[in-house]
Order: sequence, then C-alpha cells, then structure tokens
Amino acid sequence: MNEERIKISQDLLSDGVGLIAAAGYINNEGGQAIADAANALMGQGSKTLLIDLDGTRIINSIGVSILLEILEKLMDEKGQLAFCNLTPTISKTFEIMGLVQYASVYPDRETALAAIAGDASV
Amino acid sequence: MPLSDLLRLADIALSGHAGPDLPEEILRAVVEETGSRAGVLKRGDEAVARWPRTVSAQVEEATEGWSEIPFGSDGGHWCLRLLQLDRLDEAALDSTRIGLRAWQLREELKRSRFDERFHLWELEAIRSIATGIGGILETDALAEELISHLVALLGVRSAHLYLGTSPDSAEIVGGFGPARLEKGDIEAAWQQGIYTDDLVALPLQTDGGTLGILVASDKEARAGTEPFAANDVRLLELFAVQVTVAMEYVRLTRESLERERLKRELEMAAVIQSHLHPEQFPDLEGFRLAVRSSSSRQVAGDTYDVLIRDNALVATVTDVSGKGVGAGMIAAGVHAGVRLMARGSRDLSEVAGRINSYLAGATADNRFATFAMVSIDPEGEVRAVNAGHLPVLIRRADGSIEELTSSGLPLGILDAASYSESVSRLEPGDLVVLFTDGLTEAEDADEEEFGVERVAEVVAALAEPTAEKLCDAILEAVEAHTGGGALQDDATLLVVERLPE
Repeated sequence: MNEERIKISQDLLSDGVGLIAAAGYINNEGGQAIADAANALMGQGSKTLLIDLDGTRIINSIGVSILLEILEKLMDEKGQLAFCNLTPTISKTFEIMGLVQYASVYPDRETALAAIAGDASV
Repeated sequence: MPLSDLLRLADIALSGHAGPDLPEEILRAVVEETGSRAGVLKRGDEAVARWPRTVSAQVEEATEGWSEIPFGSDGGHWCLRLLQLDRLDEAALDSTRIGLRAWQLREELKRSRFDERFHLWELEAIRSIATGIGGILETDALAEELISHLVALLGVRSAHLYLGTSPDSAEIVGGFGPARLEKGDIEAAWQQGIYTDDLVALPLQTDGGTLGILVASDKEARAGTEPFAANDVRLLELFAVQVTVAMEYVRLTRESLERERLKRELEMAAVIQSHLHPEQFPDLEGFRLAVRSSSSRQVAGDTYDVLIRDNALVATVTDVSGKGVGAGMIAAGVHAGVRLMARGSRDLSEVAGRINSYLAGATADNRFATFAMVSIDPEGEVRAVNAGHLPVLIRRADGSIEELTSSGLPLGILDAASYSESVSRLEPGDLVVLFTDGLTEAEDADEEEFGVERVAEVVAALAEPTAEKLCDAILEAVEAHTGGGALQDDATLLVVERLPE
C-alpha cells in the first residue's frame, strides 16, 4: 500500500471537457497537483471537469478541502464537476463531506463522458 | 475604483458565491480606491492576501509607512495593512469592513460545516472498521483496511501496524508510506507508547499482554506538516482499540477453527481405530467369543484382536500407558506388530520379544504397553504370554479359577526384556478371560478399586456361564461398584469360551 506520490494526467477533450486522471494518495501535495491541473484546464476555457480517481484509494481531509475549493471555483464559473472510478470508501467520504451534493459521480470514465455529453446536448 | 465596486464586492461576499480569490479582489479594490502603494490582508500572523502579489513578507518587513485597520468581531485578530495610504474616507472604510467581515463569516461557516462533516466522517470510519474488520481473518487484509482509514482520517504521511509476541519479534504487517519508527524505539513504543509532535506510537494492549504497535507519523497541514493534537491522539487510540479487538477476534476464531479441525481428526482417528478391531470373530469350531470395549476418550489406549494361526485361535489384549491420541497410536503399533509377527512365529514369547524390541526403540521414554496374548488350539491347549498385564483368568467348569500371571516387563520399557510362555489346557465348558485395568481400577464412592479379586469372584460365581453372560456379569458388577459412574479409563474385556461337548 505504498501509493505515496500521486500520478496526474490532464487532457482537454474535443467537447471542452477537462479530464484529470489522478492515481495515488490525495493529500496536500496530491490535492494541490489536482488543483493545478484543474486551474490549467479552466484557464484553457474548460468549464466541465471530470476527475477520474482510478488507482486512488486514500484521500485525507486536506485533499477533500482542496477538491471542495475546485468545486466552488467551478460553480462560480457556472461550470460542473464530476468524478468517476471512486472506491466505495471514497464514495462514502465524498457523500459525507458534501462533495456529491454539487458534483456528479459516475461508475467509470465511459459512463461519465456519455452522461456529460448527454447533458450538454439537452 | 468607485465605491460602488466595493459595495458590489461586499454583496458578492454576502451572497455566498464568493470564491477563494475574493480577499485578493477586495484588497486590490481597497488599494486602488485609497491610492495606497500596496496592501496585505492578515489573519493573526498569516497573510490571507497580498496586493500586488510581489509584496512578500520580506518586502513587507523591510518597508515603512504601513497603516493598520483592524476589523472583525475579535478586533486585532483580523487586520488590513495599507502602505502609504493616500486617502480613506469613512464610507470606503465601512464598505471594506463589511465586505471583509462577510467573507470572514462565510469562511468560518464553511470551516465549521467542514468540521461537522469531518466528525461524521470519523464516525463513519470507526463504524466501517468495527463492522468491516470483524469479519476479516487475514492479518494483512485487516491491516490494510485499518491503515487506509487511519491515513485518510488523521491526514498522516505514514502509518504502520506492527504485530508480534515481544518487541524483538514485532514486525510490520501493513503500512503506508515510509516506516518512521526506529528499530531502537520499538521497545519504548511497546512498553508505554511514544508521543511526539511528529510521531505517535501506541501499544495494542489486551489482558493477555501487548499484541503489537500502531504508529502514525507526519500529520499534514495545508502546507507541510503540523504537530499531532490531542484529538489526533484520541482518534489514534480509538483505532488502536479497534485493531486490538479485531486481532483478538482473529485469534479466537483461529483457535476455534483449530479446535474444530482437531475434533474432526480425533473423530477420524477413532473411526480408523475402530476398524482395527475385528468386525466379526474368526470361526473356530468348538469355541465362542465375546468382547466389550469402551474408551474414556475418542481415541483409546486399549486394543484387542483375535486371529486364527495354524488352526489355533490367538487372542490379545493391549493397554498402553496414558490416554488419548498418543496412547492410541502406540496401541495401533502393537496391533500391527501382533498381526504381522503372530503369523510368522508359533512361539508367543518370541512375538512378545519382537514387539517389545520394536516399541522400546520407537516410543518416548515414559510410554509402555501391557499385553496379554493367548493361543488355543482345537484340542484346547492354551499357550499364554503376559507382558506386565493383569492376570489372564481361566474359569474351569467346576467354578474354580486359574490365573496366568505376568511373565515379563511391559512392552517398550527395556529393549533386552525377555518373555516366557505359560501352558495350560482348556476343557469343554472352560472360559478364558482377558481384561484391562479400566475395569479393575474402577472406583466406588470411597475410592476403592474394583480389583482383580472381584473380577475372579464374579467369574467364579456365575452359574452356567457363557462368553456373553460372563461379559455382562462382569460389567454389571463393575457398574454396581461405581454406582453407575462412568469409567475413568479405557476398558476392555475379552472372553473365549470352549463350548461344552
């Protein structure tokens, strides 16, 4: 269980959705890396972010507070935040910490992108 | 910036949609509106926003001409610092205060909501551990589940679970991040725990002693790390209790499974042993047999056998010292020895000698077996060997009793022991009685043993005895002696009857 350093990748998809894949411990460093990726994608005009947490099994309170800040910032911009590939423990944590109140949660990346594309077309 | 913009910022702050950059926006507006050269917004010693951003702490320190405007409910705690303030009318100051105060309240609200939810998260984690790890029997899986909850909740950079029977044997069974507990500190952690700013190690204590150590180190702050607070230690203690309970559950469950496995093995051993005894007695014309055998445990130290060799009937009774599986294994060895060797030798003393020699080399020092073996040919000639066993009784048709007593040491004591045969004769109507000390050592309420003499009395007193009737009569007499109490030892009774002509 030595997933200390987080691995992050970011991608601006053709439909303007910003995709961030984060695998590892989401603590202050991991959370900041996600926030940097989110800021970069928002800077490129993306207002919808999907954070794929495949490979992430632990998130601490600082990590949660950074994700909440990303959510706040997106909401200020009238954007939306979505997560996918959450472990049951992280899913429960997000529910308790109020993240899923304003962000969507999908089982996997494919379902998430299809749902986001569906929302955009309505 | 016109005053209306400041009021707009105050409005944003109050509306609840203010982002984390709002303090900087307000500060920038105030700096521009007041014609100041720079501004810093502070909460205590911490700078929440700086404008321009290039105004570092060093720059702030090195420059003179700062004006301080405290605001917020706790007076000096919150403070706006402006460099070379040019103009600040009351209206602008008020609107600035309103904007910052609204933002501050909103931040406090957010933080208190976060704290409230975090406590729910703590409760959920404890609940999840309590209900989840109770069912995990693999220590590794249990450690992983526990550590992942602990790392998340405490916000630490590393956590490890050590298990062992002593500080020297304590080993990491699960962990996250680099192990921070030095080898030399394990003893202290094991005995009384370690509590420092950056590392807490708690012993996992049970009534039966310490099971291991739970270690957490490097508590994270928003930037870097911070010392462990009392609440963190309390939470870690809660985890330590949970893991101790879980480990005890694992230990007790494993013990219970082991007991169940042993019970099944004993049952299997008892079945195997029961198959060693002849299912039905071999047929030798003019003779009839009866047997009774009971064991105080699942696996008995008594065994008996009957076989035909060279048209003669060979009957043996063996009693191994001790009880249970060990005695049963030796009994099985003697049984096999008799079966194999009795067929190859007519001389019973030689058979006894060989089995003795085998057992002397193959059993522990304190183990031995007593053994009585008789062979009876169709004409009634009786040959007997008795290795430290109770006497073999011959009941004559007239009710008299003859004893074939021991002719050597019990088997397995001395490799060089020798045995001699005794010879007698069984006439029609006579019976041979072989038995073990489970019968003779059966005690009454006054702890008086039943004894060989009483066996002989019952055997002598029975009118028109048969093998079956004699077995029943002896057992009834033993039961009457003990007052119906169960026998404390394995007991075997084997009777050979030469039928009347």
